Order: sequence, then structure tokens, then C-alpha cells
Amino acid sequence: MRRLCLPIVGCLLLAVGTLALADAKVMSVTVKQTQLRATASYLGKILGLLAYGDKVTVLDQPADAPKGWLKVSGPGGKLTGWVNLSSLTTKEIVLKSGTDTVSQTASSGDVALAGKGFNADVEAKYKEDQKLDYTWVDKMEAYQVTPQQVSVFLSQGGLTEQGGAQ
Amino acid sequence: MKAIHRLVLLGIILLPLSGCSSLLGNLTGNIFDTAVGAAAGNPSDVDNMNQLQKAGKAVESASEEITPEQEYYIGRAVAATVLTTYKAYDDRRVNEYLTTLGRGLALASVLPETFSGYHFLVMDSDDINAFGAPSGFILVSRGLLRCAASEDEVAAILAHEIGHVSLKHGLSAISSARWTEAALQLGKFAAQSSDSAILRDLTSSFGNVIGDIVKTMVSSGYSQELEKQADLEAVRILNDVGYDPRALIRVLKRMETKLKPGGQDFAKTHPDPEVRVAYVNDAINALSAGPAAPADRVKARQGRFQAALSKI
Repeated sequence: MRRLCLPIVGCLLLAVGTLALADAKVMSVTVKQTQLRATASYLGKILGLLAYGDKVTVLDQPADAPKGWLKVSGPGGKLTGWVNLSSLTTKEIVLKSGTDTVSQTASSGDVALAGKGFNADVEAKYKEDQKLDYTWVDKMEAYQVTPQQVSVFLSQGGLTEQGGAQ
Repeated sequence: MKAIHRLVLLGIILLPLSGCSSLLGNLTGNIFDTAVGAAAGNPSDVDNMNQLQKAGKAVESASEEITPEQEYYIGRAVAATVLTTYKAYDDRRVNEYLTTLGRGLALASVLPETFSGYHFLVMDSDDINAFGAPSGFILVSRGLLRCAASEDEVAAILAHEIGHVSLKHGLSAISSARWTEAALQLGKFAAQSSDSAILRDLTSSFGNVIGDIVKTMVSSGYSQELEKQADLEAVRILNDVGYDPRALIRVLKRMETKLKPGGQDFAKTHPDPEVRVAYVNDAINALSAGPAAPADRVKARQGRFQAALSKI
């Protein structure tokens, strides 16, 4: 009986914790890097940067919140701002340290292990097996065009930033 | 008493699930998550059945559930594979012009942010061709860019490819058999094989996935329905950003005069431009057009278009 109760208490605590997490609507950043902005637009002032796996707390949304944007508080609750929904997931992203990135730990429906599945190790082996040249893929990824340059480009052309309007 | 314990345990299992369902919706996931759990313990018929069932569930919505990180590695490999056929056009000015323009358009797409953002590169070929690889790796040929007579028309070309990326058409080319294979391999090897074996089989699955996408993009082409979706998304993006959506019609008509019957490019993988023009025209007529851009802004667009692409 005692042996059965202890796991039950543990599971109850886990369940309560999960519920608290759900009520707080915690989401994780699912892209390499995104920006926390002062307004719900890619024109909005950048308040801070968010990295892959960072957790944000979704706040009460104003009635006039633009579609595709969420008002959140950043990690530690220090900053409050807007993030585009396309950079967030409801899953908790677990960043696994070390090089053993294909190990299958910490997996469940609500947790995504960063680097799991098709990852840098798989790419390296595929590249080697196929003798595939990634030089130009790396180069195209390295072209330095900042969000500010995009903003100026659009403005000079009499164009508008829609910011993920859907 | 045992019955009470069972009820309590059932409640414990269900509580977190109900809590999670109150979240904003499951935006991303991982196809492999469902199959991994089946690896525990000694294999048996029951285990194998569980694996199959779980893998089946994983396959149901594979393209919706793959994480942006995994999509990124798929996109890189697809782009690298296409670049074994088409050489890159090594001109920083041209490539950065397309990257700036393309990223401005992507902001108005249904997927403004991918794992590492949108990236653009010109292919050094006279073919009329373009590819929108997963996660935003977009390749456009010089031949296709020569069909554009203005920045608005270049924008139309890029917006079509952004449409394919943002609507995840590349991932839809992966057959369910490939996903089953990948999911089952992970389940089979996770608990009992060395990491190198996992890596070997994952890489094999990865190669098959890349093969499916490249075959569709380069040889067989997307379905007419997916091409139509990308065209309609392009019209919406162009209009929302402030470009003339009729630029898509102009570039399609110019393309029609240049495509060679039996060619290995758009002539092979895309619907007849005339068919596309008809539904694009209908879509534009249904739009509420925004105010026309001031003449000096239109002139600025033309100036930078000519500066970047006059020698393409």
C-alpha cells in the first residue's frame, strides 16, 4: 500500500504542475532566433532576442490583438512584448547538451527534444555518404540581410510590412 | 481499494491531458515521438503491433508534425541536391537583392518565420525553373528571372515559391511509406542498438525523404491543385505587401512565350501558363486593391531592379 501511494503522490504533483503550466500558457521558441517586439508588427521596436528553446508566458491578449501575434512575457518575466506565432510551439523544447543528439530520451507528446531525429549528425553522415556539396547552401544561408534592411527596402519601394497577417 | 487506486491513477493520467488541451493548439511536434515509446522491453508480437499502431498514428499527420528544426535539415539537403544539377550563380549583389526582396514578401506569408529564415539563391541556368525547398531555401534560375521586366514581376516569382514553402508543399511530397519507415526504425533501434546504428538507419530514411521531395520538385512536379494554391497565396502576398498582383499574370504570359515544349523545366513540372492566368485573374478580380504606390516609389523599385538584374 505504501509503495503504491508514493508513486501516486508523485504523479499527482506532476499532474498539478502540468496543469499549472497549461494554465499559464507557456510556449517555447521553435526557431533559431526571434525577436520580442514592442508592438505586434515586424516594424515594432525590438525589445530583446529570444533563442531556440526559450520559454515565454502567453499573457491576456488585447481584444484588438492582430492575428498571428501573441503578447508574451519573456524568460524570467523581465520583458513583455509581442512575438509572431510562427516562431512558437506549445511543446516544451528540451535542449540536450553534448554530442549524443540522436539519443532517444526525454520524448513525449508535449516535449520535443532539440536535435532529435533529422539533425546535424544525420546531415553530416548523409553529406559524407552522398558526397554532397553544401558550400552554396551554407553561402545562401550566410547572406547578411538584416530585418532593418528589409524594412528600409520595403519603405523605399512604397511597400508595407504585413507581419504575418493571415 | 484497488478499484479506487485505479480510478485515481486514471484521473492522474487524464488530468494533464485535459490541461494540455487548453493550450493554444499543438503547432508543431515530432513524428518520432509516438514511435519511440514502443522500443522499451523485449520485442514481441504485441510490442510490434503497438509499434505499428504508433507509427501509423505518426504517419497520419507527419507533414504537419515535423519540427521546424527537422524541416530545416530536410530543406538544406533538398537545396544541396538540386544544386548538383544546377550550378549556383555567384553574384552577391543579385543574391542579396533577391534575399532582401524575398524576406520582405515572406513577412506577409502564413509562415513568416522558419527555423533559420528564408534564403534565396540564383541558379546559373537558362532553364525556366525555381524551387521552394522546405524551411525556406528558395532557388531561382537566371532563365526565369529573365522573364521578369520589373521588381513587381520578380516579387511574383518569389511569392509563388514562398507560397510552396509556407504551405509546406515540399513535405507533402514525402510518401507515408517513408514516414512509416522512419518511425519504425526509431522504435526498433532506440532501445537495443548503438547510436551508430540509429544514425545509419536515420540517415537512410533521411535520404529516402529527400529523394521523394526532389523527385516531385524536379521531375514529376506538384499537383495542379498545389500549384494553384501557391499561385493564389502569391496573389495575396503581393497585394498585401503593396506589389501589383497582376505582375504574376504578366510574368506567366512572358514565360509562356519562352517555354520550350518538352523542356525539363517549368514546361514539365507546372500547369500550362494559360490555365494559371485564368484562375489568377479571377483571384485578383475578387481582391480589394490597395492604393497605388506614389510614382517616385515605383521608380525606386524599377531603379534597384535594373541595378541588380539588368545583366542577368
